[in-house]
Amino acid sequence: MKLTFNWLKEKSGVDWSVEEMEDRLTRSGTAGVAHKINPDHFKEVVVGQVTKLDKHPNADKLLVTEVNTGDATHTIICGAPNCAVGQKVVVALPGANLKGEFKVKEIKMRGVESAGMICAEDELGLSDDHSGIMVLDDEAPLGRPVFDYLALDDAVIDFEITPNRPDCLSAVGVAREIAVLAQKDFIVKIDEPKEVDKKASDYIKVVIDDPDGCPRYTARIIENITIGESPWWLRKRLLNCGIRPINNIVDITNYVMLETGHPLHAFDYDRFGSKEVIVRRARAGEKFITLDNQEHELDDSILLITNGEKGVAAAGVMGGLESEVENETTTILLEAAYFNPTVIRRSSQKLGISSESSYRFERGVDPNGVVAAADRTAALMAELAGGRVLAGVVDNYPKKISPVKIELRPEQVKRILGADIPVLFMEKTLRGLGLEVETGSALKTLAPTNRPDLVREIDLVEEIARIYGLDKIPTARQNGGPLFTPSHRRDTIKEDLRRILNGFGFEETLSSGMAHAGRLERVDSTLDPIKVTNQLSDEFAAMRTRILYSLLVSTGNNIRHRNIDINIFEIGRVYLKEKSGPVEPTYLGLLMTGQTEDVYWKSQAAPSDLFEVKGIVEAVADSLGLNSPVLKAIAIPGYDKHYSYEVLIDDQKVGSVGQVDKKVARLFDIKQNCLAAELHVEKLIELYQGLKEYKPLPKFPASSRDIAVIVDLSVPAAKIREAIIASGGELLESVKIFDLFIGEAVPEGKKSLAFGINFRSAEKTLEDEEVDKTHGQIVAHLEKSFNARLRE
Amino acid sequence: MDIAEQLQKIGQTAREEMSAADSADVLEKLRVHYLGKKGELTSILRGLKDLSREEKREVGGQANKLKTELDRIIEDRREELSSAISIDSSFDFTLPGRPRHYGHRHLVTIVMDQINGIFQRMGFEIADGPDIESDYYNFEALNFPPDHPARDEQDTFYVEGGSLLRTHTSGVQIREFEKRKPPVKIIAPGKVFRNEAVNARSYCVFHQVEGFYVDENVTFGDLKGVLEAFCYEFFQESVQLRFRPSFFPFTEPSAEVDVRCFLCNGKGCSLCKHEGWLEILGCGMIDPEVFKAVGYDSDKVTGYAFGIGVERPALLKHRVNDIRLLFENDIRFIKQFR
Ligand SMILES: [Zn+2]
Repeated sequence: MKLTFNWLKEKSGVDWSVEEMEDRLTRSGTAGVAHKINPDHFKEVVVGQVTKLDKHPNADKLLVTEVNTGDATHTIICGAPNCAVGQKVVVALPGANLKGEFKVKEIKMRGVESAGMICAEDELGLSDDHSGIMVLDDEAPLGRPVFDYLALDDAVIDFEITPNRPDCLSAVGVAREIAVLAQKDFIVKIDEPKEVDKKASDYIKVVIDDPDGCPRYTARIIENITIGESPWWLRKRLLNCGIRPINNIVDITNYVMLETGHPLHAFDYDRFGSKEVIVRRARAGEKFITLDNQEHELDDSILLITNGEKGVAAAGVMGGLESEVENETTTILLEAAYFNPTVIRRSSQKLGISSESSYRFERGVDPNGVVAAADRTAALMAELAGGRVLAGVVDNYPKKISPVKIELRPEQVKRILGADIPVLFMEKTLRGLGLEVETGSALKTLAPTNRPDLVREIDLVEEIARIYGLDKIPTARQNGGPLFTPSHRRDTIKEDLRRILNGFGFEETLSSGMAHAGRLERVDSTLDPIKVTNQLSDEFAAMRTRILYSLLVSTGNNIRHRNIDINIFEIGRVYLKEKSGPVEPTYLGLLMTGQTEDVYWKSQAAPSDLFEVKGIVEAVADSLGLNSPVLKAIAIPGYDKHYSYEVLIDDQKVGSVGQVDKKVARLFDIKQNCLAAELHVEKLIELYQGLKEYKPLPKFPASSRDIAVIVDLSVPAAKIREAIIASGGELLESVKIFDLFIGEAVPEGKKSLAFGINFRSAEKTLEDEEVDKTHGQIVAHLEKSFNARLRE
Repeated sequence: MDIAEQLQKIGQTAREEMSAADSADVLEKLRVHYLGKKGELTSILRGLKDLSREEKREVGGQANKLKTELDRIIEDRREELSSAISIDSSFDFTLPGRPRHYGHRHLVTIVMDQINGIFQRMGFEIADGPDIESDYYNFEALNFPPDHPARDEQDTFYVEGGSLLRTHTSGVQIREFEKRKPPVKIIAPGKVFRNEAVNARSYCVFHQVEGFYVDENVTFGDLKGVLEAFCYEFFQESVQLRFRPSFFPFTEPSAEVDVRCFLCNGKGCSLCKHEGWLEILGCGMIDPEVFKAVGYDSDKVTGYAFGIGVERPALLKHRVNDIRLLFENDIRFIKQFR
């Protein structure tokens, strides 16, 4: 909401600079940012009068004018259709620098010299109106700088008003804040219109069918008005406050709304259609055209102002097209009402319309300020539109809303704020804010109805705090609380995992957790994702069921930027549907593609393969103190079914490893081979078996033997290794596979596998004969079980 | 010349000759000359047997010491001579070392870890709640009445089944209050969601650290103390703070905290949008309605709560001008932060 500095100064009677006003208000909860009009942009811009008007000899649409600026006459070419002899206009003379971006010079236009420019509002930066030149009042003195004449020495303050402070959505409300902060008395001037003898009640009746939705509705009648343009001061205020001037009647209602915070609506009385206002809920299916010419189908959540027959306004939101004020309007039916905030909020949401009016009603206007706002509006209509105000306000107020009693214990202020604030200051502040205060050991107060946020003691504590100044509350220098706060494995394991993966050269990524429903389905069609019902776009339509999805998105983004060698990981939640409701297990996902490591001049980098990922998974398990993972081939969605594995630790499923299905990868613009793993973090926590007991270091040296066997290609290396362990007896300490060979030296359909075996005894140094004997047993066993042949 | 003098003389010449030896052959000859079976030093050692016990001990010690010394000199010189021969003229140490790549945490993690760490050192315990949250924990119990404009400030994503994606981690307050009795001193870091258009300044997901402390006699002054300490530590410089009253349904009084723009020092610049201040967090004293919802007695305890957005200070600190960079996960971006 925008208000102007001069307006606030005038209303509050406090003589602060713009900067002080901005700062003090911001520090007390009425955050505002001030923008000043730059006087340099109005240099050489003066009031002039058009004294002569001729058609341009060489251009149909241009006019050649003579403009008098008091001490001189200038020939100026103008293209505006509304230019006429006698008008007072805004003249920019050569040397002017409009908006700081357009320098005015003497120029020749199609053979005729032009010594300046007659300006439209947009050219001056006053509004975006370019329909014609700006026409000033007849009294405007010739030659007077426009900056002075229009009183542009002002600043617009753009406020961010919190939803609890509807009273501050007005000049009066903000001015009251200023006065309280300056410790000055604040007086609201009351403007009562002169009334004529005719009674408004003979012209209109008000019936309220839904007192909960509409606790109060008042009507006034103003006749004999002439629709026209509002005076500049009024248009200027509206423009500065971001409201487009329309005509004097609409402008007045908007102006009073900005001034008092009270939305008003002016109907054309003659087009209203009856002499009775009936406020009721809309009927299901009832149709209504708002004044922006949109037809709406209504239901009973919408409060409707009707003429007894049909709707004339969506209460508190927007008026109807049929009873809108037009150029021919002469009699106004002025509505000033109090509507239930919740009802207006629902209406506004249902209609999809948020207006200045609904914005204020849904936050709560002052039910007891209704008549004053109507009076002020009627008085202005008399003054500025020639209106005659009929006697009396037709006031239907079935649900009286009264000020709220609140007790404030001064010691409570100290208890909450930790500051010693004098009781006298509290009293003064509350009175300044419009509360009635009765002193005693507790302050007995009555909170005014323009402050619906003041209901409880704590609400008053807040008022004291913000007017006193939060900066003045003493800052504690000590820290209280429990003696000890534990850390949780749920948190620390993530730190550990990051360190481990960083150590292996992986970069951490972070994603929204939301997914494109279609692509997610292609990654894993077996998991039905939780869908977002009001999604922002297709990219954020479902919650991810697999961390793999996010890794693929990140990989795709990188490959698009030509980062093709990628080692990334992400730790985050996936979202799964369970009968009991959503569950959110945390996963560690990692993905490798491209080269495994940085270019090094000494060696050739190799493309990543599944063994790289397997190695990482094994190392992760080891570094968390878990037993070695076992990978079991099984088709898992998202992975190529030939290269897809379940990860088991202690026979429990903890995740998966695989080569990303090429068809899936392509959905993310990835054409290169991707290897991935997903590990369920909570499972990893569960599997940890605690501290291990120390194993004494061996006292005697080990003996080692290598063994190379040729077996069928189909025999898994792990099976042979298991067989070696099984036949190696007690002396066997460890077995490592150190070579795989397939090729010329080996028969077709066969492979050669080489194992390095360590033997050791806990009791003595082994003799060669003992080792050879065991070695022989192993060879015999392999020959028998796998039809293996020793490779020499 | 007595034996001691002889030893000294042998030592001196031997040292000089050995250091000057320019080949392994010369060195070997010198070794034989001094330390061989018939070498000078060896003969002296052999002659010791004719001396008295006392002399034997003294001179013997010196002679043995010299022998050890000369052995070492020969060995060192031999090493020098052989390495001089084997110097590899192709050795070029301007070639890069073997790349040992240490990966990077995500910038959000880095900043989140910093924030968590500071508050953990001040005695806050970490707690967490679900991302998919009920209206009750996200709004109702936090004193957001249904159909209240305060809900507009937090554009909410809803999911099937009537739940929503939490718009703040403040719901963890309620979950923890339900489980514990005061004193409760907790931070709740996590991901939060807002149904806002994605552009350079806003994203539909961000991270937040919510903190709260409920105990007897907790005041707004305590809140100020904790947040000031946090800011001093986090920004690593003496920042100037501004507590600006604001509105949150679950705290009263409520405030937003701004720091003096550290780029322009308050003069106004594009970073602070010419306001001189940067908004970094929201806070306040926990509203009695919240205590009522969880069965705490607001006449017995008071408490404060604060919520810090993680992305904003992360971006401010590194002058990143587009929040989307955080979620695009371009590794060239990720690698810039430690
Ligand atoms: Zn700045």
